[in-house]
Amino acid sequence: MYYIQSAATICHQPTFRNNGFSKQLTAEISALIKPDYKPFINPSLIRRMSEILRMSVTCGSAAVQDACINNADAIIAGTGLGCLMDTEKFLNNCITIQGGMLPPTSFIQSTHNTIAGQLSLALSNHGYNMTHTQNSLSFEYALKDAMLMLDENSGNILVGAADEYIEPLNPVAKYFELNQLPLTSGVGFFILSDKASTQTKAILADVSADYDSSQDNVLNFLNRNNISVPDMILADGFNADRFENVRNLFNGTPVISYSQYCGMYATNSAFALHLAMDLMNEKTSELSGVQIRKHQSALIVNQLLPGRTGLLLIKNYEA
Amino acid sequence: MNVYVTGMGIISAIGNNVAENLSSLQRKKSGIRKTTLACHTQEIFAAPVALTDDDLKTQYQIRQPHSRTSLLGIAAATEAWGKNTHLPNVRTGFIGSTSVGGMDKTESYYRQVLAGQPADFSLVQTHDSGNTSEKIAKHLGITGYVNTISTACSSAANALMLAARMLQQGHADRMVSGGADPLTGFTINGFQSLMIYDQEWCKPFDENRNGLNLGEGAAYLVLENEKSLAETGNKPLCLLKGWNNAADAYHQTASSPEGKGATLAMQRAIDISGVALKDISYINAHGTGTKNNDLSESVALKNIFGNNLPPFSSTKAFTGHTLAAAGAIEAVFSVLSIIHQAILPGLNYQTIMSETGLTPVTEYQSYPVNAVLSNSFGFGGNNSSLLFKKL
Repeated sequence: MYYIQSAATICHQPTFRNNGFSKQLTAEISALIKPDYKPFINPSLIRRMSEILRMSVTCGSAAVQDACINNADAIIAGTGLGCLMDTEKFLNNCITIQGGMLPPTSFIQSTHNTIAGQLSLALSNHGYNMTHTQNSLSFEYALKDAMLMLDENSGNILVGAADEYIEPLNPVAKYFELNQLPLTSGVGFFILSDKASTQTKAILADVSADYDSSQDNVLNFLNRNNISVPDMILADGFNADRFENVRNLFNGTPVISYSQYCGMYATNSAFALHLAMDLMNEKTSELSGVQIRKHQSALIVNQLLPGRTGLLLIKNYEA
Repeated sequence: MNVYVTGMGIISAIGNNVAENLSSLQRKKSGIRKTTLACHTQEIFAAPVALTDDDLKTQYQIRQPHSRTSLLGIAAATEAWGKNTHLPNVRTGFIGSTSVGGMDKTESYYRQVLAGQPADFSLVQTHDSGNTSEKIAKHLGITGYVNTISTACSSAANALMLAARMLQQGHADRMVSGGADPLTGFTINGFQSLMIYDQEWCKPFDENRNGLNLGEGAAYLVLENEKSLAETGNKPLCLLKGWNNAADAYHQTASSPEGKGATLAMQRAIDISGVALKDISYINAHGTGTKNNDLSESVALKNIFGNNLPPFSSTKAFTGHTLAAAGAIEAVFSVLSIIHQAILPGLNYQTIMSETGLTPVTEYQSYPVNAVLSNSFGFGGNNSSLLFKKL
């Protein structure tokens, strides 16, 4: 068993340190809702950090604090596109500034592992430090790594996902028809442990990530967990046909589309995990007209990109 | 449960396959040369792979848009995969790694965008790092677990480590794992901006070292558990026996002077392997040739081995620093060291480092090799070590 001890999300909904946010979601996606970063990051460092790094260090630090642990035994991050703001900045400089030395800061902060690296610095953490980047399945692979780690050794793993929006994504998303929903930013970090405590918020029962998958893997996934129908399903809802397929598979079960709340980013299933936890813990009974009657289990179906399926099974924890 | 290395493939500036790479190491023939690359305005010392994108596309019958990263990856992964076939009882996964993904093509795309020209979107389609692994996995017919690690210069070591952990815990039976990175204007400019790109030949572990030279390439290992061996009938080359990853947590780019992360990574990898210090025969060091890395790594080596340091060298003076691919390229070299019972030379070494007094191996020589430690340290403080052992 894997226990989720804390969750911290910064996105375009009021998620950060706000239990019950599932009752306050707005249909219109607002601007990014940023908390005060100063309690979490040395003010002299905030200035140099891109938004994704500020969000990541804040969420990671909050997740450690809220789990009431001194430090994590490992830091594992997933990111679909990495630190885009700094990547674009340095790429732009490479192309437009001829001759002479370029300022190195944006290069230094452009690599995908800057997210977990900055967290290791902020937390003075010398443990395992890993970065997974498999587009829409990056968060699922990070979780699978954390679970593997807990199978090997007992501990508390800081695991999460981060992706950021930059303006130059717009023409690309438009060309590839990925712009049906607003392109957004989002970061979510969680403490995953092999032991329950008074802090335990939910049970992460199982995670699957699959490339080139066959149609029936949702049912196989539930079968191997001895569940025929979960109490609620959170599906990315990005593609209408794929969403409809999930709905038809589970007639009578509440199916919630989560991307409409957090927008489109590669690792938005991390938002769905926090949302599922909040729906279960707060016994939220209705979302966007979908009635939720039972709150013991939730299935997250991430089919943001065709041919790639991420599945998360979460169970309510009652001590 | 043991993790067996049963296949390997490589493409680098010193050869398009394992045999050519070995031959270059034996003849001390470096792949670094003074060259002008299409992606960069200045003449620099770099280690490009001899084959062009078109050469690779023709050789592997590829038509769709591909980054150079995935083309290099397909070349090396195809060699590693060899005569393997897909078997119903052998759960097979792929873990690739790259630091910049399809940046080589994104640079062309973004040049068009910034010039206000109509952009060729097929160029940016391969940007994301995960695309690299998907393309390579597809070429090998691997589905299901297909993942990518990106931890800068330690990426491939971490990919191999994750694959080994999955095999050991019984989550897979056979894994193809390694990494790929192309030469790009982005990374060349990046290391130049950090003032650690040597304008001459890089000189790992030399007192007068002055930075790194970049290279490009890809390498993959096929790793299997016993159950898979029984089904595939593959002959093991050696064991992947120890691994670890530790954060230096010192600075975003620099390594700590006391080599904390590096020491932790090596110590835990050795502990996991159960191999005694005296049985480690050779160390393939990270050895980029920067002032900071080689000092920090030397201190870490002394922390672990004291006055009994086994022969060590950095092969980056052959291949250049291939970033995410380096850990896999050097894993292939480590396996070669075991198979051929030989230790590998560094190049361009002249003067002993005053702070540490360590002398690297400078000649290819026969040597009884029992186990090899391979280091990969990335900026962001990502330090990883792998330990390969003779069967």
